[in-house]
This record gives sequence, C-alpha cells and structure tokens, in this order.
Amino acid sequence: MSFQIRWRPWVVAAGAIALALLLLALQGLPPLRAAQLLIGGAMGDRDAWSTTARVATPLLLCAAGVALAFRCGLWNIGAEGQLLVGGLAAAWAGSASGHWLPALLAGALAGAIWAAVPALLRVRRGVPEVLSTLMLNSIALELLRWLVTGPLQEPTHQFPQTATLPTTAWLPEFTLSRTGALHLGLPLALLATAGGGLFLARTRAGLLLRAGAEAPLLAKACAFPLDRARVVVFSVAGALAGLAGASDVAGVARAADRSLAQGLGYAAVAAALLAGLRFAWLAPAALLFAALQSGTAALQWAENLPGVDRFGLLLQGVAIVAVLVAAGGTRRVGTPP
Amino acid sequence: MNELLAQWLRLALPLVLATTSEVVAERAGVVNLALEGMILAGALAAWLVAAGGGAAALGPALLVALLTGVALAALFALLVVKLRASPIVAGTALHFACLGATGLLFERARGSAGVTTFAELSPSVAALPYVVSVLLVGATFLFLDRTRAGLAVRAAGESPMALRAAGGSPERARTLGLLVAGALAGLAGASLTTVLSGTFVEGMSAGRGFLALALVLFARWRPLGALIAGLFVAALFTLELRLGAAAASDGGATVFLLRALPYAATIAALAVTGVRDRAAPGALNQPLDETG
Repeated sequence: MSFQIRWRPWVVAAGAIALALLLLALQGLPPLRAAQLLIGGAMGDRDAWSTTARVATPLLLCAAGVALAFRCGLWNIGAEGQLLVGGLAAAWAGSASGHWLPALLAGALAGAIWAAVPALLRVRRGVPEVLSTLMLNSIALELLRWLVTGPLQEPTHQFPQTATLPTTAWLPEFTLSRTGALHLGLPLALLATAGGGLFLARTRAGLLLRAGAEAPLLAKACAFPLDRARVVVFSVAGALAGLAGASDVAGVARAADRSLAQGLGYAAVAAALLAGLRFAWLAPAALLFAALQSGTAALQWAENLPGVDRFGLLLQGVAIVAVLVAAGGTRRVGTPP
Repeated sequence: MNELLAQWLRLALPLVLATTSEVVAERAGVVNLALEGMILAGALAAWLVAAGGGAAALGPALLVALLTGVALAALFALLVVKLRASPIVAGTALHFACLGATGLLFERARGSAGVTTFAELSPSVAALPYVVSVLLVGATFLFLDRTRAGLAVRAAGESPMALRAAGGSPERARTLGLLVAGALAGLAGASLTTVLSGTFVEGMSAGRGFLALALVLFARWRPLGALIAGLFVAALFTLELRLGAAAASDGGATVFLLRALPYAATIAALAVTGVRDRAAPGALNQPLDETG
C-alpha cells in the first residue's frame, strides 16, 4: 500500500510526460527524436548534467523553503518575490563589499525580510498569506524593474542591469565538465533540504509547528509560542528563496537583470507540490523540473521550434494535475501528512 | 477627459469580471488560484477565434473564451470537488498548465492578423462590453441571492453539512459555482484581447487574476462589491499610467511607486480589515468530507 502511494504519482507523472511527447509528435517531431533530444539535452553528458544541476540549484533552495512553510500550514506563494529581492541585495552587497559571503548573507536577509512581512501580517492581522505573498511578488518585480534602470544600474547607464560583480564576489566553483561550472549554491541547497527535513521530523518545534497547521490550539496548549515560531519559519523560507536569488546572481549571472524573474519561484512551488512536500523527494522533483527546462531548451535549439521551452511550464502543471488525479481518493496531496 | 474615462473603464472591465468570478467561486467555498491561468486561456481563445476575422468574429470569440473558462473550471472542479485535492495545490498546478499551454499555442499560431476591438466599432457597439458586464454582475447577484441554485452554492460555501442535511449535494453546488466562475473568468480574458489590447501577448493578464483574489475581500464576497472594487483599482492603474508617462524622467522612482501602489494598497487594506473576516464564507477552502 505504501509502495503504491509513494510510487503511483511518479508513474502517472511519467505517463503524462510521455503523453506530452506524443503531443510534440503532432507538431511534426518524431517522439523518439524528441525524447532523445529532451533527455540528451537534460542529462546526456556532463555538460548537460551541469546545466541541469545549475538550474536545479535555485529551484531546490526555493522548494525547500516552500515545503518548510507549507508543511507548517503557511501558504507561502512568495518564493518568486523573495528570490528577486535576494538577487538584488546580493548584486548590491557583492559590488559594495567585493566578496561573495556578504552577497549571500545580504540575499538571505533580504529574502527573510520580504517573507517576514506576510508572516507578521498573518499572525498579527489575520491577512491570508496566499494573497499578501502574491502581491509582494508583484511589488518585487516592479522593484527589480526600477532598480536595474535606476539606483542600481551599471556605471555606464546603458544596459538595464546592475554592475557586473568583481571576480572576488563570484561564488566558489567546482566543475563536472569543461564548460559548465557548478557553484557553492548546490551544496547549500542540499544542506538546506536535509536541514529542513530534519528540523520538521526530529525537533520539538518542528513537530509542534506541523501540529499547529492542523490544530493551532493543541500547539498553544503545549505552551508553544506558535505565532512567533511561524514568523521565524516563514522568514527562514524567505531566506532560502533569497539565497537562491543571491547564488544565481553571484554564481551564474554575475549581475542582476530582468532575466532573474523567470518564474523559478513559482516553479519551486510546483516542484515542492510534486514532491508531496516530503523533503526526501524535493531534490528529485527539482532535478526533474530543471531537466525539463534544460531539455526543452536544448530541443528548441536543435529543432528550431520556438516556444517549445514553454512546454516545460505546461509539463510542470500537467505533472501535478496527474499526481492529484493519481492520489485522488487515497489521500489529499498538499495537506500536511 | 473622455479619453481618461474610456481608459479607466477599459482597465476596469477585466478586473470587475475577474473579481466577480472569484466572488462566485469563494461563495461556493473554493479559492480559485487558477483564476489567472483561466483568464489567460480565455484571452488566447478569444484571440485565436477573433484574429483577422473582423467584427463578425467577436461574438464567436467571446463564446469560445467563455467555454474555455468553463472547461478549465470543470477540470478544476474534478480535482477539487470530486478528487478532494487541495484547492491551493490544484489551482497552482492548473495555473502553470495554462501559462505553459497559452505560451506554447501562441508561439505555434503567431503571425496571424490582429483582433478588431470593440472600440473600433460604432459607439453603440463599443459600449456593449461595459453594458453586458454590468448586466453580468447584476445577473450574478440575482443568481446567488435570488435563486434556489444560488442558495445551494452559498450553502456549499457556508455550511456544506447543512446543505447535505437539507437533501442537497454540496458537490454539485460547488461544481456549479466553479463553472459559473470559469465562464466569468473566460470572459475576463476575452475582454483583455477584444477590448483592452486587440492582440494577445504572453502573460498578458499580468497578475490581474491574482489581484482579483485580493479584491474579493474588499468586495465583501458580493458581486456588486466586485464592481466597486474593480473600478477603484482600475482608477489606481489609470492614475499610474497617466502620472507614469509624465514622471518618467526622475530615475524612475515615481514610476516604481505608482506601479507598486495597487498591490501595496491592497496589502495595506487587507491589514486594516484585519483578523478573521466575518463576511467570508464559513467553509471557505474546507474540504467537503470534513464538514459534511
């Protein structure tokens, strides 16, 4: 039975992807060739693996934060906004200090502050965090658009981006292949995932926070400061998303611009949901989505099919719908187990 | 002055329809996080039908957009009502699927002609979308407050157990509410292409669906409130467009503040309205098997 619950969603998700490949065939691309390009582009060789892992890094960081918040009954849809302010803060702090550590710290701090606002509004004023985080995502996007053409624009004032970080502010790298370097963000993401899972599963605060999601009175009866803990957890989730933005700026892009807002924060929500909010499954889910992204990008280049990269987005949605259908009647996916 | 008024109404139209849609969904007890995606799908559907077809294609375009919204709502209802999935999870998933699907389909179909907007037609026809929208808001009010089916929908959102005890079916009532919401969402999307812009742009709903989720709170979960809330926020958007064009020269700070204003104002207002809204449906987002 447990085997069935654990594996069925993934089998269905794989089936949905196969179906999607069939749809691609209707566009005039043989399914086998499409699958070959898709899989080859995502994990065919070391370069492909590097690309996939680089995309998976911010995805996993955000997804760890999202899963942490969701499991505590905090519907944090705001990873996107937290990621954006984190990236902006890192671009600023990295340039100002000339070192990567302040950049990462500033990113995490900015993300935490951006998440503390909806957290405080929720516990103090009862404002639904689904709404406030969505609004803050929009504000963060406007903030990005303004700062990269205004106060934080690069010195020559020609391009809509921040100043390129000095090499001392680049994240330490390690390589799998000649072309694609991986950066410190990946071990941080794995660490955060393990830490988040352990915190929820093995500590008193984690247990009471999870219990508080279903029965707030129970947690309060245990003399547990539920509201304060919720603000802290929400802020930590924001810090992780901020770290994702910071590590992408200091590890990959070397500057912040509009391309920071490519929806990774939303995709992370999807990845966390696909993983059923279980931390052990976060990394595979993030890797799958990253593979979809790098694979469809490769497909687009190889076959000159513009728009095929949107396919990844569609598949993310379809995969979750498939999981929901598969889990229907057995248990409610997305409600804390 | 006239142009200002016209711009205000153009911006208000999708917001009013989207908020009305969400009012119905939430009165039925389900938060529709897929609203943004449904609007996008409606906008694309209207564009696909109306592009290059001139004025004659506008009617069919609206109908197809409406049906697209209904179809998506049916899928949403299947997930949430029948399979008891969390509305937040299912809504997010459906939103992603719509975002990806519209982007993909648009990329495939790109290059066709533009859409004839209502504003390009004779004044009496140009006024039609606004008249119809007000009528739709009124009809939604009458449906919710004055019909048996509407009463069942409200009961499904307020107390499904009571509905079941009275011999009704909360499942059917919630599904009905969602289908009506889907139709309105599809029309909201169609208004983007056939009234506001005359073309389709990827992600053109630009967060309006998400904003509508918040506007429902100001609307006090009432269709007439949706009309007022939509008009109010559209006024903020108009202000932003007008002042933004005039103030583009000061490093962009004013433009940023103006653009962020509708969202910041929404958060501030939510914070002031505060704890546990009494106007909210009693069983909002509660799965059916726990309440009856």
